[in-house]
Parts: sequence; structure tokens; C-alpha cells
Amino acid sequence: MSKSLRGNFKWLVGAVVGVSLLGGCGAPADATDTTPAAGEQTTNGVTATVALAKASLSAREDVTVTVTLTNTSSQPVSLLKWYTPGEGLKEGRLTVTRDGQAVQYIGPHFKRVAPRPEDYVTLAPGESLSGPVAVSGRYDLSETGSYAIRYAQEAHDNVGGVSAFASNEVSVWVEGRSSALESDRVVTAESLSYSGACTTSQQSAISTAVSGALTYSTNAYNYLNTTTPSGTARYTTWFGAYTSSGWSTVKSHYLNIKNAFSSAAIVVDCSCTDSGTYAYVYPGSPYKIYVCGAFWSAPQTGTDSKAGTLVHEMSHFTVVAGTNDYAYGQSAAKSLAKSNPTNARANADNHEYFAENNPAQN
Amino acid sequence: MPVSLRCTMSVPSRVTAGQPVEVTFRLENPTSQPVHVLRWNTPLEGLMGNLFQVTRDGMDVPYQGPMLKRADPGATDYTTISPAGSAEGKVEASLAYNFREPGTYRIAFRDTLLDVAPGPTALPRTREGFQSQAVTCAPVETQVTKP
Ligand SMILES: [Zn+2]
Repeated sequence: MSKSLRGNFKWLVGAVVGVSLLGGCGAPADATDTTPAAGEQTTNGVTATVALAKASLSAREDVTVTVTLTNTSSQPVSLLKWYTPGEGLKEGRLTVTRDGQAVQYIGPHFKRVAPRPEDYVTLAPGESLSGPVAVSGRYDLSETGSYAIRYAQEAHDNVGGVSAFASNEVSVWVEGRSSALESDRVVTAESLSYSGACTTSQQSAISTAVSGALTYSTNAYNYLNTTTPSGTARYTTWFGAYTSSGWSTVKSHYLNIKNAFSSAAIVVDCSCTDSGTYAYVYPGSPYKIYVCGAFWSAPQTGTDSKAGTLVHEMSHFTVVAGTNDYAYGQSAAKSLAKSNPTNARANADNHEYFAENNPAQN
Repeated sequence: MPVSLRCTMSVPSRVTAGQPVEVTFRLENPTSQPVHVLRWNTPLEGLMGNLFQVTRDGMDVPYQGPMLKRADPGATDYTTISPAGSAEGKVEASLAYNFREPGTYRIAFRDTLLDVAPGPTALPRTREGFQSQAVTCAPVETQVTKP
């Protein structure tokens, strides 16, 4: 059952007006409050402060705080490197909350042996130690929101009479990113970000789809690069009668598509909910892809899949392949290949179906 | 059996740069049967895709609006044109193509109707059932002048 698009036309036509007035769509600039004022709290001779370079961070930026520890007593103090900022810090000693809720530590945990002398750093009276402490990758920042960060050590973190101490709190607006676990799995994770309030599960589906699209476009390119150019069934079905120039045109398209999936800064936006549309792009605004209602019900791979849809959309960008929508659907795409190979080689769905290769042809 | 539809377009012959460029698109049904036309990617639904090939003094003017990948249509995505009747749509082309530079602009409709169904057809059809049809609309020209 398909639904009328009519109600959504206005919305999208409105988007066209937006293009003309604003010259493009920016990510929501929702940056809120936050002043990284460096307050401090002292207990028993060690002061800790936390500072941030920026008040808001997009999903592509690493979140790092600078932690400074100062010995304000008249005695030297020894601190375990394991828990102090800088290279040695291997455990979470930050307390991170989002909108008042504790945020989970997802970084590594190390099994410790008893500390050795070289595991300590000594601060002379008045001396400070300062260094970066990573937040992204260590704490779950998958949700967009205002995060509050402080640094604290507990009494049992150290020996030799240093009591528990805690820093001031800084807050920072963080655009949600896929979790570090997800990032590890996905080749493109570093260059993939989200806008338009994608949920965590949507981000996960998108991330998988981007991997699938990279696989599809890489396979399509490899096929065209390693097969002796000729009128193969797979080629002629989707791109029409064989010509050597047609073959190289299409090959160059997939080269650009796969390169974009592997290294371009892709933004996927979830704000469109129209069930009659899979996705859309503005061809002059790479690499932002808007996914819509029909995208979520599509299979991950196969005909008109999530991965294939991303190939379709990526092909539209002028800097990638500059394709058009001359025909929609497998049947029309095949007819186009027969009647007008030039347009088939410039049609987004033909690129998608060649890449999906379903049913498989050689 | 393809239905032959007639297509005409019009645009003001002169437009001041920065002013709207309104393109009128008209489909006529010269047959004695009603015909259903899927409005997608035609000016009958608005400017929802790269409908036109636009050139300024022979140079391509790129499309800057949205391009959609769509699921199957609904019945309301079709316009029915009665025998000897017509359907008309107007779009403001400068919302998606840059008409701000002075020059002679040529606007050509990309010549495909994605699905055209004769009178008794049950609608909607799925994309797999589409019967596309070429229509030839004579391109139109407009002169964009400095404000
Ligand atoms: Zn498309």
C-alpha cells in the first residue's frame, strides 16, 4: 500500500524555497549554553580543573577535555600516572552526564598489578600537570545533548595520603555520534555523521547501510575494472549496448561513488518521514543524504535496499556522477537501457541496480 | 498502445534578474479516451526533480533542488486528463536553477512522462508496471536582464 505524497510536496517544495533563500541546508546549529569556565575545588593539596576548547561539537569532532592538576600544598605529592591526564591515563576518571543522566564508560579497562615506582608522577609544591583526556570513544556519546563533564579521583586511587578530589564541571553540546563499538566495525565511521535527530537504532542502520553501499560500489567498480570490457549480461541489462566509452564512463562513476563512501564526509539526515520516498539529495550539496520513511522499511541489501538507495543517492551529486532520475524501478531502468543507453548511464536507479546485481548476473 | 499527448510550455520572454521565472507546462489529451498521467518529475507536481535542461547562452545551468528516490505511487499521484481536455502546472524555475546571471536562457523539458495509463486502467500501478512515454515539448527561451 503506498501513500500519497501530496501532503509532502509542500514540505519539499518548501525545501526548494529554502535553497533559493539560504543557499543550502546547514546542519541544525543547536549549540546551546556552556561556558567552559575553569572553577576549581581543592582538597588536601591537589586542585583539578577541567577546560574545554569549544562549547559545541559536531559528530565528526573528537571530544577532549584538558585536565590540569596542581599541587597547592607545601609538600610534594605523588599521583598514579594511570589516572592522571596525558599519555598514561588509561581509565575513566571522568564523570560524564547527559541531561542529568549518567553516561556509560565504554573505554578499555585494565587489569592492574601493584603499582611500581615508575608508575607515579610527583608534583613539587606549586607544580602543575596538564593534558588532554579523551571523552569520545571512552564514553557513550551516541545521543545528541548537553553533556556535563568533571574529573575526579578517589582516595584509593593513590597512596601516600592524597585524598579524593574533584574538578569543576564543564558542559558541552555534543552532536550524537555512533557508539565507539559501532565505529570500530564500520570503515566509514570517521567520515559519517548524522543530522535531523536520527535515533540510535537509525544511526546503526545507516552505518550498516553505508558499509553495504561501500561494498556494492567497490564490487561494481572491481567488476568493471577486472572484466574484459564487452557486452556482458550485467552491463547490457543496466547500461545498454556495449561501447568502450560507455563502459569507462560507468567505471569512473563507480570509482567516484566508492571513493566517496570510503572517505568523504557523509552526513545522513533523518528528518524526512515521508513513507512514499526512500531518500533525497540536493545534487549540488555533497555529501548530505536525507533518508525518508520508505528507507526504514527497505531491506539492508538487495533490490531497492538501504545500501542500494545510498548508492543511488551518492550518484546524484554533481561532483560524484551527476546522475538524474530518468526512470524509476527495475523494469523502467531496463527499458531505458534498451531505448536510451546514454540516459541509462546517467540514471541513478540504473547505477543502483547494477550495483545491487539482483538477481545476480555476470 | 501509447496515448499521444501534446505538450506545450511557456515562459515570459523577458525577466529581470532576481525576479521569478515562472514556467507554464501544459499537457493536452487529443484522444477520445481519458488518460491518467503520473505527475512525478513533471511540473504538474511542482519542482521536485531535475525536470528541465536549462542553459544560459549555451552553458549548462545545474539543478539545485531535491532529487527523490520514490517508493510506489498512490492513486492521488496521477492526474486524469479528460478527452480533449488538458492539465497545466506552473513552477518557479529560479527556485532550483540559477537565473540570476543576465543572458539568454533556454528551458527544455526532459521528455519523459514516467507513467501514462489509458482510461480504464486500475490505479495506482507499482513502479514495475509503469508505462513511460516520451512527450516532446518545444523548448522555451527567456531573456534575463540586469536589474
Ligand atoms: Zn534519485
